[in-house]
This record gives sequence, C-alpha cells and structure tokens, in this order.
Amino acid sequence: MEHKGLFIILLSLSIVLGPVGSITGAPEDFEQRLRSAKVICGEAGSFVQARTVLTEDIVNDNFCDCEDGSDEPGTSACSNGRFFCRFDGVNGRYLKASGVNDGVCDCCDGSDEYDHPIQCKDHCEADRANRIKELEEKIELTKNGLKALEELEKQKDEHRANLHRSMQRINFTIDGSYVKYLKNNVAMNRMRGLRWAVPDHKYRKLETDEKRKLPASLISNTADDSKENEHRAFPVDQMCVELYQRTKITNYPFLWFEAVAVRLFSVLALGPIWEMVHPTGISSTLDNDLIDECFNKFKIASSKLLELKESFSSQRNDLRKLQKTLFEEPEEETTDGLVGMSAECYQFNDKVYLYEVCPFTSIKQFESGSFVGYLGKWDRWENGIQLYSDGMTCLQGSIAQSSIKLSCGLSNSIVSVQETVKCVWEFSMTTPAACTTSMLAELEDLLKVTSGSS
Amino acid sequence: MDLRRTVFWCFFFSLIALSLSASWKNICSCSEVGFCRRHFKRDPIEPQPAVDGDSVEIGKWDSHSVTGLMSTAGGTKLSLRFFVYVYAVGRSHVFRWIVDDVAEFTNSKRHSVNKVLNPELQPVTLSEADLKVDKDRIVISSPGDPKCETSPCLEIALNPFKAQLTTTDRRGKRTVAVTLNDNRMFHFEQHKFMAELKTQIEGFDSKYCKPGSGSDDASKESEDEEPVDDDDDEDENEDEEEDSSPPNESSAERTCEEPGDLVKPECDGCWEEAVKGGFKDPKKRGPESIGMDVGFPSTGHLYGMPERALDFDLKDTGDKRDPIRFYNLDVFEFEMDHTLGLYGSVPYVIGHGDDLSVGALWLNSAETYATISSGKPGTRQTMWWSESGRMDLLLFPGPSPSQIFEQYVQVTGRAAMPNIFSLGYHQCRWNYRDQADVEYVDSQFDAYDIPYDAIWLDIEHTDGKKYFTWDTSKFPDPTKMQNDVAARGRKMVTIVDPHVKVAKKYLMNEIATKNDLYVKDGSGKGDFNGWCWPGNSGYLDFTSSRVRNYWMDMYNSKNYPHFTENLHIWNDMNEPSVFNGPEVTLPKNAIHEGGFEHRDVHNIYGYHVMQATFEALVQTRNRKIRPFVLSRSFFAGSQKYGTVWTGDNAATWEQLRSAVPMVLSLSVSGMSFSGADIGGFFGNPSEELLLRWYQLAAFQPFFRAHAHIDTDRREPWEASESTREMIRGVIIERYKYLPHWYSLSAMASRGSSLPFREEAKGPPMRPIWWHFPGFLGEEEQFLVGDSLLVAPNMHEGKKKVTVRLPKDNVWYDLYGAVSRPVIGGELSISSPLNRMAVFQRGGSMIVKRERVRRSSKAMILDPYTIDIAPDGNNTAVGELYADDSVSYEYENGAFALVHLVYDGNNIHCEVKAGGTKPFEGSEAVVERIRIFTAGNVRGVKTEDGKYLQTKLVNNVLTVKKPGVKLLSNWTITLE
Repeated sequence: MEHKGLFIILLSLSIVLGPVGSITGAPEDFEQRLRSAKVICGEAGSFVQARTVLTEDIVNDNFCDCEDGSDEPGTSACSNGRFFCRFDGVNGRYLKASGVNDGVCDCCDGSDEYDHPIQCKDHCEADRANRIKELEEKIELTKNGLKALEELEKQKDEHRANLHRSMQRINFTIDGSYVKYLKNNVAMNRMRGLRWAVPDHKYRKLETDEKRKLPASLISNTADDSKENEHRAFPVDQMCVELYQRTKITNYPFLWFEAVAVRLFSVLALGPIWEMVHPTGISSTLDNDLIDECFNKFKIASSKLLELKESFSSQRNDLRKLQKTLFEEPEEETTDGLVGMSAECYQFNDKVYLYEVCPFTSIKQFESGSFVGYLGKWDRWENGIQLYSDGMTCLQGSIAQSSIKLSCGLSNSIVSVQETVKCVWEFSMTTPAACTTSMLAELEDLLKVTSGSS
Repeated sequence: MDLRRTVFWCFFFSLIALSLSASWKNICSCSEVGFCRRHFKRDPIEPQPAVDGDSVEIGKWDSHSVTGLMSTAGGTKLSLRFFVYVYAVGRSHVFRWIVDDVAEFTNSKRHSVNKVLNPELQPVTLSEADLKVDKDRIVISSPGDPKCETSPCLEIALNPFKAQLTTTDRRGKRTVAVTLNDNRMFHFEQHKFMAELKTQIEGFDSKYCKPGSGSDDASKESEDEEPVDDDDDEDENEDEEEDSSPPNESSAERTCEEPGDLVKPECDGCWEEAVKGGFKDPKKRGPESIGMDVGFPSTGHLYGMPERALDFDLKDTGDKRDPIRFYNLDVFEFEMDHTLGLYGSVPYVIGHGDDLSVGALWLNSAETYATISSGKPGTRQTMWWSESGRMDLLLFPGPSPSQIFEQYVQVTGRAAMPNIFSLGYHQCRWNYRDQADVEYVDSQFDAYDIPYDAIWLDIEHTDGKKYFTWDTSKFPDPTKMQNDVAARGRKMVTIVDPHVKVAKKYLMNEIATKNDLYVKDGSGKGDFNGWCWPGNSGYLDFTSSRVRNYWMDMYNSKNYPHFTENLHIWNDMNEPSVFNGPEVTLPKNAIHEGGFEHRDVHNIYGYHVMQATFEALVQTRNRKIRPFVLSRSFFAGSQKYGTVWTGDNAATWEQLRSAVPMVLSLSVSGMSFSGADIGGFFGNPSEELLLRWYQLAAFQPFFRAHAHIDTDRREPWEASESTREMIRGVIIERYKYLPHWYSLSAMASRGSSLPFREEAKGPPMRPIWWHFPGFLGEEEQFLVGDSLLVAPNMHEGKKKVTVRLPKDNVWYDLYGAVSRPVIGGELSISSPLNRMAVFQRGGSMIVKRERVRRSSKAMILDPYTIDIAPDGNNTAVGELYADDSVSYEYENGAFALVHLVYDGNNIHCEVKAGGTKPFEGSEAVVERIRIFTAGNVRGVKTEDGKYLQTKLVNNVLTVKKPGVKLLSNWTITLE
C-alpha cells in the first residue's frame, strides 16, 4: 500500500519534473551507487551491521535499519536521516528526516510530504525567481560598494599621510618639551644652590618696600594655559631667566667662596663685622625672595613640562594604536577600508534612544537629548566584529558592552541596534569596507547556478 | 512626548519591584500574626466542646446531612452547628465535617470554599440506618454498611467532642484512620466572641455597650440557609456586614453586637494589628479564627501541604520552627527548607503507612497554619487553624495511594485534559525581545533539529504592561508571528496578569471601571489601587463570577488584538502580587464581592484567575481546542484548569534538588501537571547544572525552560556543542515518551470513568511508595506512572548515582545495559554527563513514538514502538490511552484505551474503551516491538500467520514492522 502510493507519487514527479532518480529523498546518483553496491551502512541499527553494503529491499522501507539513516533517505524512520530536496531553486538541499511527512511543506516542490494529508504547493519556480532577483540586487550592491570602497582607498592614503604628519609633530613636541624639562631642572638646581649661598641675615636687611617693588605678574603668574605650547613649555618670567643667566659661575667666580666665608663669620657671630669688611659683596646683590620665587617657578615649569610630555606620549600611543589598527594589522579584510569610518561618528534613533557610534573610539547612548552613558569604548576586533567594552554600569551592576557587525553597503551607516541581553548591545552597520571582490565572485557564481538550474 | 516620564516610571517601578518583592524579610512569621499566636503552642481550652445528642438529626436540615448543635471550646451555649456529609467516590466514601455559627450567635456569614469542589459531586442521601445515636456517641456509617464492617465510618464522641474515621486498611483490618480533636485543640472564635468576653472582664458593665445597639435575635431568619452553598453563591447580594436588623425595643439590657459597639476587651491581635512594612490590619469583625487537631494514628508519614520548599516526607514542625503557613505570596528569591508558604496553597495532607493511606483536606481559603508532631511510632498529629471562614474538613479514607488520589480528584475536580503540545518542551524567557527574536529562536530549533512545542512571551511584549495589548514597535505583526510558529505545529503562550493598569483609553481598565470590577479598598467604596508591573493598578475581583464573565469576554481578537487560535495563556502574579501591599499582596481588609474581606478569600484568588482564563479559552474556541493555562498561584482544585509551576526558582544545585520534593508534593495534592523551570529563573546555571536540570525535567510533567531578564541567554544552542547535543538528546527522549505521558495525564484526568488499570492510578509523577513498600523518606528518586523509576543526578560533579530499586522486582536500565535486568536493591551506577538513570520496571510495557519530529503535532500520525520489560515470570502488562489530543471530541467517544499483555508467548492488545470513532492518529501502526530479554524465540508471527523479521542483539529482541494498528485488538505470537 505504502509502496504503491510512493510509486505513484514518484511517477508523477518524474513526469512533471523531468529526469530524477527513482529513490525518494535521495540524490540522483544514489540509485546508481546502490546498484553498484556502494551505499554502506555507517552506523549499526538493530537489523544491519555497520559497514554492511545496503541492498534495495531495505532502502526506504520506512524502518530504520542503519542508525545513520543511510537506508532511509526518503522517510522519517531514522532520527539521523536526511531527505534530499531536489528542487530547491538552488543546488538542492538536504532536509532533516524529522521534516519528512510531518505536515510541514519544506521542499519547494512539496516532495517531502508525499505521505501526509497536507497539500503542498510547488513554488520552486517562484522561489528561484525571487532568489535570482535577490542575488542580482546583492551583486549590484556589492559592485557599488566596491566602487565606494575605491574612493575610500584614496582617502585612506591621504589619511595615512595625515596621521604620519601628526605623529611627527607629536614626536617633535615631546622631544622639545623634554629638552626644556631638562634645562629647567638645571635652573631649578641652581636656584637651590643660590638659596644656600645667600645667607638669611641678608634677607632680613632687605627693605620690605623693595620687595613690593617686584612686579606683581612675576609673583603670581607662573603659566598661562591659553598660550601656545612653546610658551607653556618654559613659563618662567624674564627676571628668573636673567637671574639664572647672571648666576652662572663665570659671572660669580667667588660666590661659593663668599658663601662659605659668610657662614663661617655668622657661626662665629661676626656677621656685622663681615658686613663692615665687605658691605657690597656679591651675595648682597641677590635677593632671597627672588631666588625662592624663581626656584618655585622653575619647579612648577618643570613638573608642567613633564606632564606635557606625558600627555603627548599618551596621545602618541593612541595615534600609534590607530595607525596600527588602520594600516599595520590587516587581519580582517574589513579593516582596511574603515579609514573613512574612523574620522566620523554615526547616529541611530530608535523609539527611545539615540545612539552615537564613533568607530574605534566609543559608543554613546542618549535619551531625549541627554547623555545616558557609554555603551562601550573601543576594544578590539574579534572574528570580523568590532568589540567595545568597559562602558557604563547598568542598573544590575554589569558593565555595558557592545559589538558592531559590518556588512557590505554603499555608505557607512547604522542599520539596527539591539540590546540582546541586559547591558549588551549589538549594532549592525553597513560599510563599503565590508564589500569584497571575493564576495562578488561568490554571488555571481551563485547567480549562474541558480539561473542555470532550470 | 511622555517618553521620559514613561521611562522614569519603568525604572521607578522596577526599583520598587526589586525592593518590594517579598523576600523573607518582609514576610510575617507566626509571632507577628495575632491569630497565629493565639493558636500556636496553646493549651487546650476548657470546657471542651460538646455535642448535644438530642439535637442530632438526619435528613431534616437538608436531605443529605447529619447535623446537630454543639458548644465551642470555652463556652457552654450551643452556639455552633455541625454537619456531616458523605460522598460516594469510587467504591468508597469521603466524609466531610463542617462547623459553622448558629445564626443567632453571629452577625455575619462565614465564608465557604465550596465552589472549588467538583460541581457534579453531590452528597449521598443518608437514611436512618446510616446514623446511630447513643447516649455518649453517634456513629455515621457509609450507606449499605451500617455495622461499619468494610466501609469508612465516622464516630463522634459527644462530651467532650471527639471524632474518628475508621476504615478498612489494605490488609482488611479495621483501623482508626483519622482523629479529630483527640488533642483537645478545637477552638472556634465566634463573631460574638467579644460579647462573651465581656462577661470575663471583671466589673463589666453594659455601659460599655453603645446604647440601643444590637439585638439578641438578629438574623434568625437566615437559619434555614443551606450550609453547602450553591455554586453561584457569589451572586447572592446579601450584605451581611451592615446591621440590618432594627434595635429590639423589648430588650431592656444593652447588648453588644458589632465590634464597634463595645469597648474592646484585651485580646491579642483581635481588633487591629500591625503588619510588617508599616501596614495596619483593622479587623472589623474582630476575632473569628478556627482551629482543630487532626490526628493520623495509623500512618507514620505525612506528605502534601504544598507549596513550600520543604522535604517531601514532612518532618515535625516542632517548637523552634514556625508552623507551616498557607498564605499565597510572591516570594522573592525563596529559600530552601522553610515552612512559610509560597505562591499557592493546597491545605491537604496525606498520611501514609505500611497498611493505610489516608487524606485530609482543610478546606479554608483564609490564612491558615498547620503544625506536625509525632506521638507513638507510626502515628502523627497535625493541628490546623485559619483566620476566618467556617471549619470544613474532608477526609479521604484510601486505603491505597491510588485510591486517595482518585477520591481527592473526584471531590476537588479532575485535572484538565492536556492539549498535547503542553506536554512537549516549552521555551520561555523574560523576554524574547521582539518578533525577529521569536523568529530566530524558532528557526534555531529547526537548525539544530531539536523538537519543541511552545515559545513564550513574558510581560515585555505588552504595550506598557497593559495586558491584552502588544508593543507594536517590537512586535509589528503578532498574528503573522503566531501563524509562522504554528506553521511548524507549534504554539505561543503570552502572559496575562490579573492586575490592570489604571490608565485612560486602556480597554480592560475602562471595562473594569465602568462595570465596577475591581476589588474595593477597606472602606468598601473606592477601588483598591496598588503597584505592580505597570505602575498604579487595579485588581479585578476574580472571586466574582460577574467579573470572570467580563474577563472571558476579553479573549477574542476584538478585545485582545492578534489573539489567534494558536495562542495560550500564562497567569502570573495572581497571589495576587501587590508591590506596595502588606507582605506584597492585597490588604486583608480589602472588600470582595458578597462583602467578604480579602482575608476570607486570599488563598483562592489565584484559583479564580486561572478558572476565569481557562473558561474563557474554552468558550472563545467553542470548546474545540483544549486550552493551556499556566498559573503561579493555586488552591485545592486548580488542577481542573491546567498547569502550575514552582515559581521563581534559582540556578543552584540546591534548587534543582528541591524540584523533586516540590513537584512530588504538588502531584500527590492533585496538581498532577506541574513542574519547575529548567535552569533556574534567577542567575546563570553552569552547563553541567543546565544539562542535569533538563535530564530531571524531561521526566517531570511540565517541561519548561525559563530565565530572568538579567541572565545570559541559555537556549540549548547557546551552550557548547557537546552540551547542546546532550540537551537535544534529552529533549528527544522526552518526546519519545510523549504517548506515555499523554496516557498518564489522561489517566489522572479520566481515571474514574475509564477502565485504566486500577493499580496504576495516580498522578503521572509520583513517589516510589505509591507502589512499593518503604521509600518513605526518598527525596531524590521518583516514579513516572507505575513503570519508570527516575534517579536523577542532582549533585555537582558527582560521577555516580546510587539508585534505590524496589526489591522483589527486576529493573531495566534504559540508558545503560538494558539487556541485563537488575534485581531490586541499592545499585551504584556511573553517571557521566550524557547518562540518565531511568529504569523500566520488569513486568511493564511502554508505548512510545521514537521518530524525531519538530513538535508533538508533527508526531500525531507516526508509528508506535512498544518496549516490553518482562518480569521474573516473563510477563508484562501496559496500557495506552489516545485521542486526537487537542479537541474535546473524546467526550463523543473519539478515543481509545487499550490494554497490552505479554505472557511470554503472545503479545496481546485489547481495546478496553472507545476505539469505535476514528480520530487523527487512530490508524497509527506499530513499527517496532522490543522485548528486553527474549532468549529462545525462533519466530514471531502475526494472526494471519505471516512471519515477521526479527533480530536478537544482546538478548534484546526487536520485531520489525509488525504492521498492526495499535489501537485495535491484535495478537502477535512468539515461537
């Protein structure tokens, strides 16, 4: 009964659909292989041993003899079986045995439901037409994407040059500020020495009025942030610079001798005598206050320079990282063309939030115009996906992270955003950078096969 | 425009939800509840209650009852009336003991929970021969057994009142099965309690009563009310709370009738008390609690009393522990080993001993407590008390577990016949975020060839937690989504909770407001409003049939857009959960229909929500499709409306282990279709835990995976490939046994009307002691039907499982060496991750469908496989019930019940019932018969002499394609 029904269906199939093998659910060469004793049971069942050559009588008898399903290509009897859909619009494909005669039309020709009350429509041709249309659209898109990519490639060279220039500038600044830092340290040390050399009692003698004569700007202002870096690099006023230059050993060959002498006298409580002896010594021309002032200024300048150097160093690191990401590590095909992306930020609005993606930098979330938090900061590539981590802390205490999947498209833009799990976002972006020639070739091959399979 | 506000409120309420869900901290213990303190650890009250023998009459009050007057403990007036009803159930009789106020001693009607009982159940009409009144006792016997020789009898000692149910045990010996008031703990606080109390206050003067209040003969006219209420008693509109009787002019003495009339005497928590969390509970009727001890002199072990995370074998509650509490609450992250109650209550206990099983149902829906203690070995005592309502106790005489189960479900109602899909695998998560996500999850099951039957949507699918609506930005076309899922034979389940967002232009709220459907606040005038998921919400008064009718009217595509025939419903939060209420529920003084306070009906609120949904789904589909309703809250009898689960569990090994005692307790208490969520709701399970949980749940009735919104995704394909494949294997095993599960479920539902094997009756999942002596303390292993023993590995990293197999039987290790039967006893088997320990009892036959399919629906035409596990005598029996498994056509005879017998020479199948009307799948044939130990078989032939292909591998004989139609009479002969 079963076989008869099967036979009729197969017969009708072969009439409608042209040359097919006569074994349900098996690819065309199956019958041939079966006849030439080449179909072998892969996994023993209750009735057939493994590695046994299958014979026609147990094939498609609706009982699972081999656990791997090799004896039942056309029934649901084996849980590991596969049913070959002949007319799928593409190459034909395998359907899991669970889908055979289960009331669901899986193969486009409905051939998987030959023994079920359900009536399946044959929609193979319509499927193929759709598939062809889809493929053609995809090919068109990929082609245009590749063109856009070419444009970007040009921009990339420019960008690379820009980066190189920035790098040089930064290196130069760092080096310059370091030299100045060293110089400053020398001056600072000299001030420390001077401070020791000029005795305290001298200070007491200095009229307070004279102290006031020092210009206010020299006392208060050590640095002006608004000035250019060159100035910030050496923000010590003229008076201190002069002091520094005046106190070179060549100008004061006896300073240190005098200092020792003053101290000696002072220890012997003969200070006033010394002053009588030497009322206009070199040290008297130096003012303790000024030395202190200048010492502090040099010290501040020094630390600022160090800071400056460090900040530039971190900028340089970022720049190096970017350079590396963009030019030196072509581990992903998609990396190369993303130069254009890194320069810009992209926005996406869903009904509640606005998202701003700045590739290779960060992803931000806004709600009604106000900043909610970072959904992640640039971390790394993983399997062609951009990962951003270490974002804001979500309500339940987990740290926000995001990923961006890239697909071929004409422009860089965000297609969708989803919070897949709490505090984990998934972005989809299109970019010409994700269009490849190999992809195009693949699509074109597929199109050929699809349109040719009639 | 109001986006920010909406978001703010969402955030706000989720914070509230987090902070206010009842953790143990804001749940009251006994010492914090007045009436619990008044009963717990108290001494007997003297004088003891006494029955007035002269007042005992039969067939006069109503045609069914034996009734009489009695005094309460501590009083001498005959202020109480008792009733005894007898129900004929199966071949035995269930006895019911009711005590209520005599009308003149009360000023309000006590609440009765009669309506949860099977509406078809009528008490038998007793004759004079069934009642004997002596001077010190009365005896009520089962009809036809006046001498109490075989059937149960209730003997009542008059003064002091005591009662005992005697019955015949499994050895045929007469035994006292249950005692009432043996420990003299009877207590009945009457509404007039305060009026009696006044006499106890020294120097009491009637000036403490307000002048002109009350009357001695108030409400006498209601005396002939029948205490066994009609089903539609909620339709009675008597408002007994108000003093309707005019002051009696002739009464010279001032008396106090209303609580407010009296300067209230000292009484612990009687008039008003503080509830944890800064709430007040005013008790306008004053003290009205009831209590009594119920003893089990012949049964040393007690089971049942769900729902809580306790051992299945109930231990003594003792002095240090809180008593067992029945008060349905939304408990946040519930802990193990706690006597306090969870989401549902079945105040039912089973006593089980070597020779007798007996059951007692304390039918009261108010807050209830019970203690358990031990006396002599082999005896147990319980004591029960409730805050309000009448005393109503049903006694199920057994004597076998199967018989008490039958007696219990015939009284409280049979389990709904499950729609076959609901026995399959359910994939749930809070939340599948949008339509694309649903499509993705659905397609992944096909991609990995894993069968499943339903995908669920939690609260986030709605528009702002307004149930019966969709968030159309996430689900643009819910009809298409459901149709797509259904195209592969699957279903969808959406959540519909009983709280209703108070929002304009929201249909449910508009209907509720317009028709006055909400529970009222304490004043009885305004609607009660509380917080739940949507924010400010009203709570529909499901205790009212009028409200339920409106609810039923919601389930159509007009009122519930995109309600397709493939949609089924999940009722959550129906304790009910009120985030800002006392103990996260409604305040006890909220008013329900009929003027009853919430305190009277609390434990049946969830029951009625489920009832309303179930009836709605039956009605809206014209009784063509069996509905599936899942409820978190429940009460005795909820099995009539579907399925319950153990609520918000957690991803821990401890919680995995608790799933066995929790689901067993539910099963033996009538809730035969229940389960625990796979993986644990809170937290992230390890792959090992997840896999072991699947292995357990595949052999529990309700098979659902669920997860909290903050957890990682955990659908099977999210695990490693090896775990995924093992999980797939487990799910496939479940589906292979689906015909068996379906047949067992049908037995739990239709067992009394169809000739299922008598000895096999019971819930699908049951304790080992159901069929075998001993195993009374078994907490980890259990039976599915009477032929599968499941020994799950529920311990992290454990490499071996010790299986305890009942003696005097042989057992077949289904996932081990099935060809080598093991003799009963203790057995240690290795337990690698991919290995389940499930044993088929020698002497059983199980019918399966072994083909892997997408869903249960896709299996309906598939051929059958029969596994025969012979016993020591080389015999086996089995049975299978089948119908179309989705419709009610079985009521018209479209079903078949077959018995299978194997005697070593023949396999014989006989249609015992039905089998005349065809239905989808009724023609399915047998494709394979497996006999686990068949030595000397030379040939196997059909009735027409055709020899069948066979193969013997390792002693297991497989018969290929016998070709017989299973659901018919046939014989296959072995030579």
